[in-house]
Amino acid sequence: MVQYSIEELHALLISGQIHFKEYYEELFKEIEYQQNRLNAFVTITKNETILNLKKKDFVNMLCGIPYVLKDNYSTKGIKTTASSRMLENYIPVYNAHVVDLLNKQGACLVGKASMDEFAMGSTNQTALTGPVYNPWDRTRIAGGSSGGSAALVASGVVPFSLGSDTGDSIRKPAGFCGVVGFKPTWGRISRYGVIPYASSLDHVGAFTRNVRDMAIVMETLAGHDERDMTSSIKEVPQYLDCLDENIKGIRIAVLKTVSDEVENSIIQDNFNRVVNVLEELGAIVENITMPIELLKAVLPTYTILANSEATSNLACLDGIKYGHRRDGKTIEDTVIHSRTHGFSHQIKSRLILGNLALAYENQERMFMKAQKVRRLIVEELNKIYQSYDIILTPNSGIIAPKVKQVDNQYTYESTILENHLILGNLAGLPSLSLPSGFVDGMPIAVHLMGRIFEEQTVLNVAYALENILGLKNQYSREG
Amino acid sequence: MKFEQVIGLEVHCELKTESKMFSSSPVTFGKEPNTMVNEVDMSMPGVLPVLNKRVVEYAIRVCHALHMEIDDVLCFDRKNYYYADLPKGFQITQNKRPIGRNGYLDIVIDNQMKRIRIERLHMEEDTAKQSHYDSYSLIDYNRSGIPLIEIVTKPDIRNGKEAAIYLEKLRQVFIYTDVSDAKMEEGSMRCDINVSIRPYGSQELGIRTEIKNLNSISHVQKAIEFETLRQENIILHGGTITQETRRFDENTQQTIKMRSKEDTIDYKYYTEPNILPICLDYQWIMDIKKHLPMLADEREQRYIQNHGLSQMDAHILAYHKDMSDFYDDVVQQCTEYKTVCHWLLGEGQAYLNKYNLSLRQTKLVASHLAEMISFIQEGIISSKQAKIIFECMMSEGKDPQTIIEEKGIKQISDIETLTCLINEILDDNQIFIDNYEHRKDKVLSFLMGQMMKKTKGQANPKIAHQILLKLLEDRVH
Amino acid sequence: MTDIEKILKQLARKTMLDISEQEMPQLLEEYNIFMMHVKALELINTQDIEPLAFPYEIKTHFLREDKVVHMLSQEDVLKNVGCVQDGQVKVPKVVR
Repeated sequence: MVQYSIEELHALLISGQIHFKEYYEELFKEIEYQQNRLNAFVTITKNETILNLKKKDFVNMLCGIPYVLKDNYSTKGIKTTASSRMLENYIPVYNAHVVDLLNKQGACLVGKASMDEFAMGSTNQTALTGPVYNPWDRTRIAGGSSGGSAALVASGVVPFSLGSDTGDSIRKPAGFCGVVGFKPTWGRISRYGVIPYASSLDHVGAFTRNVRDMAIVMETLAGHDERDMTSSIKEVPQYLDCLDENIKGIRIAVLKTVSDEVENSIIQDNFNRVVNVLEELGAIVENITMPIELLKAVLPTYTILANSEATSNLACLDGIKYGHRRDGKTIEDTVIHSRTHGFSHQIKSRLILGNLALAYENQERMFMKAQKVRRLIVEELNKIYQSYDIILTPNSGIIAPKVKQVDNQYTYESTILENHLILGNLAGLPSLSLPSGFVDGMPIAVHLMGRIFEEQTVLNVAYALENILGLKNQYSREG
Repeated sequence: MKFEQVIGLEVHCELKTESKMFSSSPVTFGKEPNTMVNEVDMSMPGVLPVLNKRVVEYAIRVCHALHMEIDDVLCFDRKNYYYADLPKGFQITQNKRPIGRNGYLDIVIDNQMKRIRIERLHMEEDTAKQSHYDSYSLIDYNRSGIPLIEIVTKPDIRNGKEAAIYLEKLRQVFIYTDVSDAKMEEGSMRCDINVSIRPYGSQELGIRTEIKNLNSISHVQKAIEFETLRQENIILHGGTITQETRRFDENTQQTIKMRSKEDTIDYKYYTEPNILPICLDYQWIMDIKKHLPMLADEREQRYIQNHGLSQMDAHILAYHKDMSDFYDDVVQQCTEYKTVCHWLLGEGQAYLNKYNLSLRQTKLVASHLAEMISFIQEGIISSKQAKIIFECMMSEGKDPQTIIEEKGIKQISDIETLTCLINEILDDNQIFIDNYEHRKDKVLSFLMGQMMKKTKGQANPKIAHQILLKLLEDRVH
Repeated sequence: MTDIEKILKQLARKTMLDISEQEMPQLLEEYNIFMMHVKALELINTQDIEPLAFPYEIKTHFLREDKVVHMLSQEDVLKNVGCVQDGQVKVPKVVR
């Protein structure tokens, strides 16, 4: 058996109850098994990992702990593809900042996880290596864009993995796969070395199977990095030590405008139960609303901003310095051929539409307009945070959809409910999805969103809730 | 019809910081290709920019020198366009809020002062360097990310000569504020020109053309002259000027069309999302001003007013920064201002011209020059001997005392010795003493010549002259 | 080809992409959805509202000291380059 949490595995390693190398031998067998079942890896770094298995003291909590990175984290000497043909053979010459941090702790990378191409998508069906399947039901999607990272934690392969979250790319798949997914405040963790989608919305975050493990991972990753000017110099609390299940007096706002949209009665009941539990725990839970027109503007705002930023973020992918190259007669032809062939259609259309919104004649009406609406939305959220510590909503109104039943169009579930997680990106808020139950054997979740830089409050509420709901450390090896 | 030219200049200047604008790789020139870069300069996926403090400091220096208003919040924008030399596919620049606004630079044309208004100064990063061959091009990323400042004038310049004078003066500002070598021939200073013409007296602006990437002041002047004639010709033949971008062809000395207005690139500027607005400390901005090296104009005034140098000498000295810096060092130790200046601009400049050197390339030490001048003052050496010593100081870097000893140079100032020697000469030249009353000057100069010959030039001429006079008078009467 | 198709094709070129005939219908559909998003925002009054370029209002004082800290070897610089000559990146002729 390999499916331990970080704390469990740490205890076993430091006490010598399990043998480090034998554990990894067994783990790689399990990895092979799950890869056949889920198709969640782009690269399995078995050779590199085995080679690096040196005797360690296991004092650090993450020392010797296996983990997986979404394939948009730059890893020196290890292929980093962003699940795109464009970077199919790209081998970085530097590590992302968080990779350096995890290496320093002695954590063991076992592979790079599949994702929607360049993190643009919410199904993980656009990966160059094909769809990632949901560990609870292989006929369903894992969700995206961090689908591989979610599935590998949810199948028990690794106790934690890193994902990235621009719209809801950690929290959506976390909910569909029944694991904890968290992205802290924008600026809390360095983005250096993470292949960007839309910089002002991109967040580094993680998946774990319980809240304590999440606190451990966050403590390791958070903090100022001199290579990322947007990373905060604010001190990082000791999230694990400060974890407190006493949430008496914490003020929680139930965003009714969103939760009222749930049609599935089991999900509705489940959400109500969570509300009751929080009340029983002594939290002050109150219903609030947000202007519906602002919530309806969330997806349009996001779409315009994300595509626009993406078009310049992905402009470096021209086939010249790295990446897919197809020569033409002139340099211009070379760039056009390389990009045309390197990107799939869905990426191309997003980049073209992003360029449309940035064009001189459109910028005021499209891109700047979206930035203005963004301010209105953020200000509205700030008003709520004057009176409440947490905004609580259902993570989604549905369970993971069936493979191929969903397409990747913008229209995909464009309801307020299915798009509201984007609020956390527009305002950069610490946001966590927590497993809250099952519908038809598939996991569902609730979503907690706190004030900027108040990660601890979000973790505490999730911790208290998790202790009552009894869904910690769940995983699905079969199915 | 007579036309008036209306010209605005955009000057790019590379800053000589240690490391690049947004990355910690070194700023260099002429090194092995692609050895002075890191992942940021190559725009490898996932990299982020981090602004270099010194770049801001240098930009502020130039802002102060150009009397500009300085924004205390720095904001950066993306300028989006695809080009082989632009690894990110965008350039980080300051579009909306340049660090400096509304300054000026005074220039002198035909003894008249003219104020050229400066509209803006902003910071941005340089591109990679391409070399073009018959069927392919090669890209070297060493230059990628080197910091630049761009300085844009109002359309205040009226002809090529003014443009040339402005550029030379601006180059001096870069050199005096010590932010750049400003070598146009190495591309560390480059210039774009906006030219339009209008009938004399008209206040309206004509349609302008832009001439890109001039890399010498004489090209700027020639390009303006050619472009003006071209535009005049079009208008005089009933045509209209079209707004377009042109370049200067060095071989034909003409401007050539690159693209028309319709093909103007839409740069799609928007706020750089990876750089938060940066608050500058007001005290820091003021400290930079306080420590700003004195500029050429100020130096010139100081030399005239405090040191009593002539206008001409002061001007020449002030506008050769290394000469001026050296002079300032020497006069710390020796207040014979004019003498110091004459040695530097006379013998010093002649030596530099002869060997095609800059002052910094010689071994001359300020304290040595001060010492040498004091030796002259004290009569230890003659001016003639000093010339030999000076050349030696420049080429070998030795102090004057050592040179005097090594070369056996010294001056005979001892009255007894000189008297004795002069008497010997007088004894041998009775015929001249006889002629003294008739041709005093001739006789004196002949006898002094004999004296110098006899002493191999080591006699102190002043004292020897006095003694000779006295002895002659004695003998005649 | 309709006007919008022409515009999209031009826009694609400006984004350094070619759009094939087969891809056009899908792009057109996505364009229409995108424009619906644009229209949706028009319903919101943003008069006197400043654009927000970051998730929250924040300024920094952080600037990097001017030190050379990190360089790559030429080998690493050129490791992922498709075509190298004389230590430089070789590309088809750049037409000025």
